[in-house]
Amino acid sequence: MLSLRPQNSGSALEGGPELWLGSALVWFLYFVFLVLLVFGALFPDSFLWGIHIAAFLPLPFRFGLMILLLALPVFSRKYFPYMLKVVPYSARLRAPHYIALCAVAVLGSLVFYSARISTNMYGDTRTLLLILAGKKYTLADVIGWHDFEPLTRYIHQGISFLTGLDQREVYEIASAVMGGFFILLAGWFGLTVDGSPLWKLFILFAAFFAGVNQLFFGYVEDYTPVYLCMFAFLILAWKFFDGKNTLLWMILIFIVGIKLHVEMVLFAPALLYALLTRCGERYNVLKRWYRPGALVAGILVSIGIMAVVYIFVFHAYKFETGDNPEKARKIFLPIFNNLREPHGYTLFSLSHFSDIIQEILLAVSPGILIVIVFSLVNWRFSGWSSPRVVFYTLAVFYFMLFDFTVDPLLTPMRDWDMLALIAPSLTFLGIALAKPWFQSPHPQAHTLLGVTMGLALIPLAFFYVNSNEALAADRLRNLGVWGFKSYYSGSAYMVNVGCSLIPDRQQEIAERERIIKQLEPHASKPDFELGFLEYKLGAALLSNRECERAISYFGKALEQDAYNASAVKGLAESLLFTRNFEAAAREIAPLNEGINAAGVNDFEALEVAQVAYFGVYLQSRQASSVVVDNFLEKARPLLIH
Amino acid sequence: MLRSSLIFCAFILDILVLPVGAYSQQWSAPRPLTGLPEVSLSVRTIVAQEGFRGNAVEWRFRNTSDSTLKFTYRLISDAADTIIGRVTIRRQRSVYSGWVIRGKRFENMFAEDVIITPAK
Repeated sequence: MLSLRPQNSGSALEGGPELWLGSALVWFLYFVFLVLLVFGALFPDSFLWGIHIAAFLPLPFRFGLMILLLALPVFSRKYFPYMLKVVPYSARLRAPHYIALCAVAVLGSLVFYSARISTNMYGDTRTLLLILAGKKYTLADVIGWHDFEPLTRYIHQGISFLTGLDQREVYEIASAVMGGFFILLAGWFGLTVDGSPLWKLFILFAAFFAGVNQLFFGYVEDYTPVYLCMFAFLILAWKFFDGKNTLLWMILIFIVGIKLHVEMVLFAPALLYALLTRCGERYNVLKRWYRPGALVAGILVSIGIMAVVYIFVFHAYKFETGDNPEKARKIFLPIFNNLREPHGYTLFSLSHFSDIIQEILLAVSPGILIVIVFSLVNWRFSGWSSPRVVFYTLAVFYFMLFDFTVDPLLTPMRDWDMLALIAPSLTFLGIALAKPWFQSPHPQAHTLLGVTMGLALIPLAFFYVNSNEALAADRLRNLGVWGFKSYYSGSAYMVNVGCSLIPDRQQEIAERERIIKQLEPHASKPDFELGFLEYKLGAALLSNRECERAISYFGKALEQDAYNASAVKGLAESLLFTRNFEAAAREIAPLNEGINAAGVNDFEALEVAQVAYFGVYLQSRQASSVVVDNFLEKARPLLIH
Repeated sequence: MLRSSLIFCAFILDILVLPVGAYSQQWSAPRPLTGLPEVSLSVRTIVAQEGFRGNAVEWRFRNTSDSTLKFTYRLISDAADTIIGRVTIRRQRSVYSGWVIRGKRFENMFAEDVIITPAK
């Protein structure tokens, strides 16, 4: 039951070493999290974007979530004994365990496939499928260095060729199947690792309920195989520090992983550390290279090198134009940003730190974070200096550094997929740090496991929301509003995707208008992001035959960006449908001269011109309104796509 | 050695570039409109879609006079498809439009109901 009293002092046998607050600290962290969760639910477009999930759940689910969040940890001692019955005490599994694990893996694959992330076609996915449609990957591509994830693409394309399945389906099926393999791998590791059954349960919860699972095992992108590879790499590292001879396998998986996705290279410092510890066993002279001072010096040197690359190779310390192509090219956040508040986010903006924590919260099982904070507070008893923890800390550090510097708005469509690869390292660091708290009958062992179980509901809620198109779209719109008020560039795309997923056109228009009004007080002058949203609202109104209002919004979009060719075309089309043919001809003529004179880039703009000229002709012949209406109805499918 | 390398490179470049030129969108020679010789018409085929809707073509009216011209045009293709419109073109300027037509080229091009507004 709930215990808030300070922990007892005494020997390890009685309850472990004297801890600062012990279970009370765990409960405090847990309740802080719950309070933030409630605030996130009340203000879904606020800076609490990483824990606003309850806002998008249907009301009964919301109440259910809150009740379970309170009940699961508080009554953990009631049901833990039943759960512990299925966890073997020994590190050896028997046939029934393997059969049960395989059954769970198959079930998991099916769940991953049926609850695929509903926004999986947004972000880079279309680009990825286009690349694979236009290029046949060969072994030469896999060996070469011009692609960031050649092996992943080679495998998926190969399966598509062999099975005759559509490339997108291959990605979806492969991701779900890899989810099954992940369950097998994590389950096998959690059940066979040497430790107490409570700790084994903790490992299973930490691995199975990492938020990143719902992201990687139910979508179309290149991160799933490398995620699995990273998990295998970290298991091998665990075995290595158990004294097993797995170093060569680690190196092999590291090389394969780099070919699956280049982010695997962030494990290089940790792997180097493992190599040094192995060599140090034979050659004493090498031991000084992995002492704390040498490690800190090595980290500082690597940060210096990265800073040089950041400044002189990527020129990422400032934006020259701040447009989306520049952001996609540089990928990193700048130190200087000329945009006015609230769009002036930089690498060292205070809110950026909270964003990093929330990105991590999305990626791991949140209980892991509580264990890490708990271990930091009680650092003297946490084994931070053990080689295993040093290894995982190094791995986490470089992923964290990468996540800290990358512009978060590059990959938000599916919960920061590029940044979510930090999850395996953090999970293993949390598992390693948690081990001492579960070794003897510490009271906080139950508390830690209870809150980990409770917090595992949060990734499940994300799983539910992201697999439901309407809920995912609602969440995306709120993320977009937050993005507009923070990192700015790219936020309109999120809002637009969220709005375009609303099935009812009237509702879509109302929602677009509401969001534009909400963003207007924060707009810059000119504001390209707002202009994009105004153009999209104009297009929605035009499709809904509300031409007068469409004209108004296309006009607003052109005030923000006079070179928005799509808005010019939309304006001309709206004028056509209000029978202002002369005006439509005047609007479209400069566009055609600008983009279709040297070579045709937009045939639709030429057709709009011809419709306008024919309309002028009909009016000059004083054609009846029935004739004009018939003509416009025939032209409509050609013009509005 | 250097000279032969340059010639070889130029040869390779030609091989690469020539097909691009051959397949690029080419304007036809400008032809005056019947009834309004101050306006010439050039046409180019964008996408040949024989057996489907027709050919996507772009055309350009060029006003070579020093007056603003407003006129009704009637373009008739070799497959008897007729395109009609009424357009205003300022002096020494061009306007562009396009459509998917049956046929490969315009055989007859007429202008009528011409209003000439002299430049001020």
